Amino acid sequence: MSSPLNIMNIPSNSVRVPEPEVGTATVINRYRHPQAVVLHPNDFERLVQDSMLADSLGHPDPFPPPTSLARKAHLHLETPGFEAPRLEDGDALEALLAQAQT
Amino acid sequence: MSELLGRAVWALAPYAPEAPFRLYPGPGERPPVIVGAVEPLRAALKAGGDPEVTVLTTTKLRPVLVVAVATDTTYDPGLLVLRMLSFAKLNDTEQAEIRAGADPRYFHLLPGSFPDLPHENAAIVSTLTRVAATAVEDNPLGKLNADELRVVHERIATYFQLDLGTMVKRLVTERTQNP
Repeated sequence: MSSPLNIMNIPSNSVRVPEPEVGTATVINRYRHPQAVVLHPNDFERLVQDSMLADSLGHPDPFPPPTSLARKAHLHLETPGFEAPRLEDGDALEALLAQAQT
Repeated sequence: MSELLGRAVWALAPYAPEAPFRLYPGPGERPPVIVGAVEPLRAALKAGGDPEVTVLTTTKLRPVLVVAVATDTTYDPGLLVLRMLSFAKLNDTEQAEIRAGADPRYFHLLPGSFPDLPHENAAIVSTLTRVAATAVEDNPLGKLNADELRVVHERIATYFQLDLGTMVKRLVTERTQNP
């Protein structure tokens, strides 16, 4: 990732738009609080790129289109009754439970 | 279905089956077959050739918040939703805590953005549930904006402690090399 910027503080009364240098951020203070920052266009571009990169990290590329395997797996595991017959018979269920207990 | 992302909709959002399980005995007067735990049920089904059974699961038709839609809906019509906590169930102090964002488990849904919900609500981050597209109504009751949805996604990842570090590192590498 990018290296940190050097920071230079100056009072606002002394502000003359400085000649920006690559890798140097000039912080303009007013009443001891930062009011503005002067950056070289290259550094500004880098900040924009970093910001765009950070934003893009929340959007991973989607999976590739589903293969026949993906469709098959979904069909098998998400379709009731596809893999095995459905047992909806109280007598048969009771019998199997009793058999399993013995 | 992607148009449902971030929307609140009415849905049949079932509770996860819990023991004791009530097995559907088929049509007729017979009451459900009760099984107290998974182990005896597994043994019984194994003896019967491993059939599928129908577990009776209590479900409430309730508003939910759609937080994710399956990537390929041609074969996977699945939605991930969060249940909601109605402010009608909360006292004034609890309502104020949620509005202030005091607990990240609850994401306050601004009433102005959800005009058709019966009450003011919060989405419950811990209740992530998968429902079928056919189990929701299409008519939205309101919607999150993109920034709010990002916050909900972040909270879900945090609550369930999803380790996204590898994904972030890979994306940084890929996208700085091929911006």
